[in-house]
Amino acid sequence: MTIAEKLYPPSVAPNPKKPSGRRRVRSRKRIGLAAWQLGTALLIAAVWTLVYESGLLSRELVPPLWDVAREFVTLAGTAAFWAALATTVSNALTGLAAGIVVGVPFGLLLGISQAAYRSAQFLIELGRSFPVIALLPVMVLVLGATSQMEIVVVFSGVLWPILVQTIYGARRIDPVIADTVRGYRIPPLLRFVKVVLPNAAPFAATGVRIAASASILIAIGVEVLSLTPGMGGNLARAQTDGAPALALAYVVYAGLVGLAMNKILWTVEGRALAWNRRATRSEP
Amino acid sequence: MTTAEHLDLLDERRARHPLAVKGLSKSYGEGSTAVRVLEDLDVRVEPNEIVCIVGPSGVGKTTLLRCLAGLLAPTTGAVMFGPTTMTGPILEVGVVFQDYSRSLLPWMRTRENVSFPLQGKGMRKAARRALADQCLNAVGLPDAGRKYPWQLSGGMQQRAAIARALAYQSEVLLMDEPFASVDAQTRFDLEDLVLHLRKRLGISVVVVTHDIDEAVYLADRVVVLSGHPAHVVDVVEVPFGQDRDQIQTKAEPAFTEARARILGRIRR
Amino acid sequence: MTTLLLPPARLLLRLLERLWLVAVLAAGWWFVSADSTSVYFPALSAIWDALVSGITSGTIRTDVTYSLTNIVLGLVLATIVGTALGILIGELERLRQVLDPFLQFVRSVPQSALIPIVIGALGIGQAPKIYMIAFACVWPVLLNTIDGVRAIAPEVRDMAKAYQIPHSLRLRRMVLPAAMPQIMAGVRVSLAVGVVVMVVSEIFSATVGIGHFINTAGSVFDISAAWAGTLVVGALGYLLSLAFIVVEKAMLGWYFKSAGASSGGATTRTRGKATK
Ligand SMILES: Nc1ncnc2c1ncn2[C@@H]1O[C@H](COP(=O)(O)OP(=O)(O)OP(=O)(O)O)[C@@H](O)[C@H]1O
Ligand SMILES: [Mg+2]
Repeated sequence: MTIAEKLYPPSVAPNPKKPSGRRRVRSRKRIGLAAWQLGTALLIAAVWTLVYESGLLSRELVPPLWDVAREFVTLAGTAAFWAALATTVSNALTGLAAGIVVGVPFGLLLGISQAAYRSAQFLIELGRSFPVIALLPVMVLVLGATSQMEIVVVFSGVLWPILVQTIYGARRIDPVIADTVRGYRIPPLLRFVKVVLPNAAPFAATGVRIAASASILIAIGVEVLSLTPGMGGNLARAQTDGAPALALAYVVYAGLVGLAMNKILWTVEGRALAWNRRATRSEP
Repeated sequence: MTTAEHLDLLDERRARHPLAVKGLSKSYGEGSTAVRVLEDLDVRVEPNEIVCIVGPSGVGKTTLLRCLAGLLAPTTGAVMFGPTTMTGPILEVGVVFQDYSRSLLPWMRTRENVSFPLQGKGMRKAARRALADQCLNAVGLPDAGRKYPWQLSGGMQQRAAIARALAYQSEVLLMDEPFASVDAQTRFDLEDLVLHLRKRLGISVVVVTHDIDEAVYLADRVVVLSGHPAHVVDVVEVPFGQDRDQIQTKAEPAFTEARARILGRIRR
Repeated sequence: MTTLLLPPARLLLRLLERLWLVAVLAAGWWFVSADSTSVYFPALSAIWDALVSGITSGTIRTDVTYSLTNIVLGLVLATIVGTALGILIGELERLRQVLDPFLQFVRSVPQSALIPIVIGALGIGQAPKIYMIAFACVWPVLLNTIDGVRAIAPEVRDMAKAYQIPHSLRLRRMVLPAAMPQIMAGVRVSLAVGVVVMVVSEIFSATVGIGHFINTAGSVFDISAAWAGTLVVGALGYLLSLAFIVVEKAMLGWYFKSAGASSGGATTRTRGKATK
């Protein structure tokens, strides 16, 4: 998993039509919208049930919706589930933290030295296009189906977006600012602290956000494949044990974890770097 | 600017109908929070006439122009083209937008940009191309057809946008602050281009501008909008005929007089 | 591209500068591991031998062909479906509002969680893998397309209205190209996701494919072959991203050139939003 996700939270997406101060009309509209959304949800449920009843798709793929809902609720009451959730999230976050600790300093270093950057460029391109999950069979042999192994794989996946974004941020300095810095003969250390760092920060933050959703994706992928303990392991086991409803309930939880992760990171990133959000863009 | 030759495809062009708004009011929003922007306007553009619309920022000039173009429906009143009431954009009315860098499509060559609306009308490729080339000729861009818009200067891009409006059968050109983002010299050239096209093709032109000199230099009549909601506070006739000159015309006492009068109306 | 215009000496220097580190690392690995006795970290020369024999007499060629077919078909399918749906949803603001929470949720589900379910239910054939790849890849394309369509400048929409551009022409010549930079940004994300899903689906259960190759090698403790397969996947990922860049250049020539030519030409509001 390299550049994992772009993606906006719904609230930040650009909205071309901004109605001006029509509160009552708007709230009525919002109720209408909610009704439509509810309708859509019901429609999906109806289609799902229809597919189940007709047996059009394998019943392993489409268990009754009611069963999924029941498993979903039951799961929330079991300690084992919360333990699995905690394991997955903590493994993902540990890998992510390692990625930050390594990726940001290296990114800054490569960002300020042209020669280092050019030398490492090819290596980085190789690294970021390498699907880390392919390391899994080898890693399972070396480290076993353990949390350490999972963390190592997550780390090798999330390192790249952080590294690449940080390099990009440190290198991308407005030409006018660069000229100003040169014109006033700002010494290197001061330049690094006052110009390079603030410039790179929002990009590094974006890299971390991308890496964070990748970390969950990789962690669950690792667990699913190697049956390492955690949500992914439980999910895969539920599936092979012939409990598709339970497996789907896990999928829903996995989705919720992903959603929560995105939301939190957007909020944190937005708070920390609000001053900069308007002015910068990140590398596509 | 190069004088355009061989414009036979454009020779049929001639404004035949007046474009007019009658008792036009326009509100944004609905219900109790509606904001009235334009109140009971009557503006008439005779065939082959140039009308400039001036007024303070935010008064509703763009709103009026978008109503004239059929892009906005009036709240009350009507927009008439000749004897018919306009309910949407029509072939005879072409629009030149202020932000040419956005309204020209960067993935098409200039010629394709000019002929794009013609493609929409179902015209054949060869005919499209011939007409587009003539229109580019008419605006003094004989060699730009093969280039992309972003390879042209700002002034050239705005010329291309004018060519696109010409290619589209238009008898009436509507322009919203067309020369606001080009340099002074280019601006004078483009003003002369508009005067030249009016004379050469017999079209009518409506120009929204915030530059009073430009309004007086171009217009046969200047419509001054003011107030909230906006209404017509003055209509100034400008008596210079069809041939004007950047230096001589602007030195005439009548020019200064019209200018002072408009300025006075806007200030108040 | 400018590299091609350089005199040969400079060109050589550039190449050296770009390659030396990878070369040194590879050489380092080669010599350090030369007399490795570890089962898990065999000598690079042994991995190389396993790679060569895997290609010449083994299954690597069929495996790579199989995997490449899957990823390409899956990605193409996802791109077509994602772009078409994205344009539809992006053009119909109301529809987008209604679907928004659903899209947000589905997008947040880690695709890797779905693999056991889909493979378990649909079987281990090639078609389920292609669908799985397409399913995982469709979301980035879809969401990016929606954003790209919505970001089309109001001036452009006004222009289309004023000149009464008919629907089909407008979608084909205006909306699609305007959204193309963002669509391609989505496809790039999808490519990364797709390669992962491809490998995972083959590791999970398959009888052929490069993921399967690595997995079987690992399970019979042929570590050199497993490492060799892993390197092949790396090369595959790299080559696919190179191929993507070629395609992107071809599709977006105007975009890169116009961005270089002027700050204008921005017919959508900043493509940079793709990742921001
Ligand atoms: N879509 C809209 N919704 C609500 N109000 C609008 C909308 N468009 C314009 N307005 C309001 O209508 C008024 C007139 O706007 P308009 O753009 O027509 O002014 P203008 O004379 O063209 O100004 P400028 O010279 O700055 O271009 C303004 O007060 C503006 O806030
Ligand atoms: Mg305006």
